[in-house]
Amino acid sequence: MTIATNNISLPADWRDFWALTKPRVMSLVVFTALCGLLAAPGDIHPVIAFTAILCIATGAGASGALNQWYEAEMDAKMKRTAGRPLPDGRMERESALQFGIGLAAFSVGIMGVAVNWLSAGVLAFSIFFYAVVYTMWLKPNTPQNIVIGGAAGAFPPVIGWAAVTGDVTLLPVLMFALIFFWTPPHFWALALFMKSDYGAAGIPMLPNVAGQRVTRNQIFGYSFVLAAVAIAPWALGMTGTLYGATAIVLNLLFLGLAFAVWRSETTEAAAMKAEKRLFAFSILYLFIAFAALALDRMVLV
Amino acid sequence: MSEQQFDMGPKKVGDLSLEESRAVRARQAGRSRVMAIVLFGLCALFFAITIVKVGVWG
Repeated sequence: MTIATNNISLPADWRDFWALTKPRVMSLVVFTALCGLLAAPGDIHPVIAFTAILCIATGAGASGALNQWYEAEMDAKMKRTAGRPLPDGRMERESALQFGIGLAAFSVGIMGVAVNWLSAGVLAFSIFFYAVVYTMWLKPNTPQNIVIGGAAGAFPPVIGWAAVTGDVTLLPVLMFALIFFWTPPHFWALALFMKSDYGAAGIPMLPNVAGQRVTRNQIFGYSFVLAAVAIAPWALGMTGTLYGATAIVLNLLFLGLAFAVWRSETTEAAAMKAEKRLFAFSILYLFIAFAALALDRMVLV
Repeated sequence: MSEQQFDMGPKKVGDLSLEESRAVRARQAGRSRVMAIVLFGLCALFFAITIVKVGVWG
């Protein structure tokens, strides 16, 4: 921020640093990590559990800061992101980079020392995957950016599980797969009605590159894979009927909304009600699915 | 009067007007307060982790 009369640069506000961490994304990360931690067999001291969740949240914040540092110019071209601290000129770019690296080092270091080095290693890899593989490599270069990049957001429940058990078994892998296959229909629903925004920034999202019909087909297709992965923990006997029933209901609803998106021929963003409904429901879907999984496992284990 | 006194380059801290100085100090104070809270929280957390690790608590 500057005082217009004399062009004095003010130091960035602490709220701008907070905004760099993408707090809304962080809330989903913290929730899924907590569910992974609660679903894991074994005991963990509440202080160590709190430390693990804090480190996962801080690691997600580091990923967000590094992402915003790299994408500052792209963000300035999109309405949705133009108000962020860097494109809005409220902060020096170097500050965002230093903040991101500092948070990353802190979160991985504390996780390793206080919890265990397996969870610290997976956390380090997830930050690297989001900041480098997804942000710098996949996102600007391929319309499949969301498909492979979805892995970055899928690690938190695995880290939560590893924090308790010190290993990674089939159930955390299925939790990873649940977020991984949830990401494409979730983001492509958003990309359908934000197509012009992504186009303005030159990001090759699927609707801009392959067209709306292909995107709608892919959303519908991935919804079936998501349903299979979501029901698998119950079908394989790793959870009880609480999760099984919840997963079946959630996925029937998800498939219904994805079917409406598939059938729709709307090209006007303002008229894309089915796409907006699917996007909104997909967020609720993930919260309910993970809450049911954690609750079920807490009852079962 | 020397020419340097009319230099229109970037202002030094001492050259700020009262309004500018207040705005800068308010930002610095806000950041310092948040930093103090974060550092205090970390001290408490590290103390708790240490106590748990040495097996005194839980």
